[in-house]
Amino acid sequence: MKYSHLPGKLAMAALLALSIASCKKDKQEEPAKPSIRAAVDATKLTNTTDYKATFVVNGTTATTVDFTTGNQRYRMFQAINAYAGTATTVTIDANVLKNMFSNTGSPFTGTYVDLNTAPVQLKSVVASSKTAIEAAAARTKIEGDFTSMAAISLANGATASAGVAGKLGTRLVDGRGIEYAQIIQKSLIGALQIDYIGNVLLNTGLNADNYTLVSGKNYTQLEQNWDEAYALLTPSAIYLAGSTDAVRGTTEFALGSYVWEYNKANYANIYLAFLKGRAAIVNNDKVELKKQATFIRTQLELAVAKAAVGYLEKWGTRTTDADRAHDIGEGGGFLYSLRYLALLGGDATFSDSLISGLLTTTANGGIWDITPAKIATASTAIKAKFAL
Amino acid sequence: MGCHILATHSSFINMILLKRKKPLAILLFAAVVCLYACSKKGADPDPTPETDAKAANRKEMLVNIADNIVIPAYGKFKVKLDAMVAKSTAFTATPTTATLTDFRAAWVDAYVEWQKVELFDFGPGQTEAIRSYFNIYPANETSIATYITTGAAANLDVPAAYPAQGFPALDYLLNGVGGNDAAIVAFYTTGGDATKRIDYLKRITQRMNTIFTKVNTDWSTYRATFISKTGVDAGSSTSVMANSYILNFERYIRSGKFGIPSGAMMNGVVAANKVEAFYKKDISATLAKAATQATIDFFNGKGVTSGIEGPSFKTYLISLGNTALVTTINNQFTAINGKLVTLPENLYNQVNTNNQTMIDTYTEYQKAVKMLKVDMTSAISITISYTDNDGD
Repeated sequence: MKYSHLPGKLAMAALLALSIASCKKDKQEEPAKPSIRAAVDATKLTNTTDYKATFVVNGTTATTVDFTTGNQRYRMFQAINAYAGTATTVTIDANVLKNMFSNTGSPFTGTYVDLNTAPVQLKSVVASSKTAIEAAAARTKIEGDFTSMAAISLANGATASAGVAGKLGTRLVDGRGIEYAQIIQKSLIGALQIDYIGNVLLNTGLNADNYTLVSGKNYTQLEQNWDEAYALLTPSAIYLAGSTDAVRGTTEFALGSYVWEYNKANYANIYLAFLKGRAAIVNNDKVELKKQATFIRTQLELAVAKAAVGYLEKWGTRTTDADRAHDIGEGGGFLYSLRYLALLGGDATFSDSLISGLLTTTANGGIWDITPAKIATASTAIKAKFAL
Repeated sequence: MGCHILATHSSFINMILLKRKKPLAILLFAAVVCLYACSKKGADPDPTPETDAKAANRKEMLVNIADNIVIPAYGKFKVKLDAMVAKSTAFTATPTTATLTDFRAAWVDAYVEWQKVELFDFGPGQTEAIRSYFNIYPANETSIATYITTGAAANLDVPAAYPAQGFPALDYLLNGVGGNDAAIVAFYTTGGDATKRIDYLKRITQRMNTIFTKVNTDWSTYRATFISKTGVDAGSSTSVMANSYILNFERYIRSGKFGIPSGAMMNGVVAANKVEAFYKKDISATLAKAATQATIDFFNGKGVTSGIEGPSFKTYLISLGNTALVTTINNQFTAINGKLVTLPENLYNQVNTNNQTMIDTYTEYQKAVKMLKVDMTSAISITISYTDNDGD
């Protein structure tokens, strides 16, 4: 646009100044530029509104929603989980797990083979909201769990007992009774999903550009950040559609599954919050966007905190070592993940103190030294910390 | 939804109407309020409004259960446990067939009374894991022998030690370590380990006293918390109590006393030696009957001292319009009792000689489990939290 004479420029400047002044006065964050999208009426969104069809290129039915990279990372997580799970019957290779983690050396096979050419990986985004030191520690810890997982796969023909790796029932554990397949999955729920969805994409990711399209794509970076968050939570078109408190209505994995299981109060409101936040992006409504992001993050974090307590409490109802080991495998991974509950105030110090209080480090300790009193201490501390 | 929101804010709007005379501004304001409320509604809805009556009914139930069931039942158990501890002290000071007979009789009394409090696995009972320390059977003879040898250094807090203490360990130590009373007394009076055996008997009896005293004492402060959590969310008293009540019925009565010994459960194998009170043998049915009656009385809110029914799962279900379900459940309880009265005292023998009656009894329990675990929880809107839903 070119201004040909001064009065026009002055008028524009005056208008701009007035606009900014009124913005400040009303405490509204009006966009500095007009939205590139036609407005979406958020009040018309419901729990059954189609995500992709709602957000389209102006005047067309071409969607601006792209779940590709989010779903790719989600499936990489599934692939790691599936491969680790085979250790109960076959010997597995830690390097394959590490390569899946960093997407190097074409480690994916079978239904996951397409991921070898995906432009994304898990390792670089794990714990990426944290300081470089803490992020490096998280990646080292996860890779260490892969090494432990491969080591115990060698013992899948043995029966486990204190100090002896092997199987407890169907559970494959090390000499301390640690079920690494569970530790890996539950640690990644925090380090990958909670951290990257909540602490990155729905947090700092909201500052991304929303006025220009990413080269060759139908979306802005902000739109993509939001959609990627959704796609790393769930592969479902409508998250938890048709679910009741007793029966989950969609196929979900990891965090997406635990939100349903441990956040009965709000699992049914998460999909709509994603739609409303996405509409707020289209409408350039930063206040509404922040509100929906905060709601989603809080509910995801609550599910993880409650899952940690839930597994600790299940331990007390068990009658076999296999079941108790499983609860500590799941619960132990969730205890690790508490450090990523940024909105609820989780941190590494709290998380680590719970783990060291619960699990002794001697070769024949671990789950074999756990007592109901230690469980009660950890459970009480989590409830107090997160106001559960 | 729109009407509801307008109604919610109408008094506020009326207030503005009195002060201002600008219809357009008012309408706009109302619209903004409405839109804000609408958008808020989707993402973080108000909790479903529930009539105070429901919460009040639950509170009445919790108060009755605390004051007329749990606290007095623990009081009755304390009398029997104290007596058992006293007889243990007498026996360990002077092991004779006479003091053994007294100790054993007091153990039977306390074990029967225990059946009436084992179901309170919520609050202090759960925190202290009292059931895990009092009644995990069958007793592990090998562990008991090891712990006797190890002495005071043995860690009795860990799950591995559950079947080496409590009533089942006493069952073994009072009834199973010799072929007759003289031989049992000799176990504590002769041989190099006699003193260690006495010490272990003292230790596990004192330990029961310590754990129970903590639970019993803590209820005096926990009561206020218990009756204040009147919701139906996962942390509410109704939810926690119903979960532990149903878990106890399913796992520790149905499965523990009948399903496991009879092999009636899926992939089950007959295991007569897993009956409760395996060494004493002739009290197994009495224990099962006591536990079952306590479960029935709890459902109906019957005061353990007064014998009078008060607010309970039963009255709460009826207040929600589930009278038919209450009748169905109580009829099923009657059917269970109908099976129990036909069983002889010695369930070990029964498994070996007429196991079908054990399986039939299990089947009646199983029908009640479904009613409590599915129908009742659905009617009172609570979620079963003790099962794994993720399947991994």
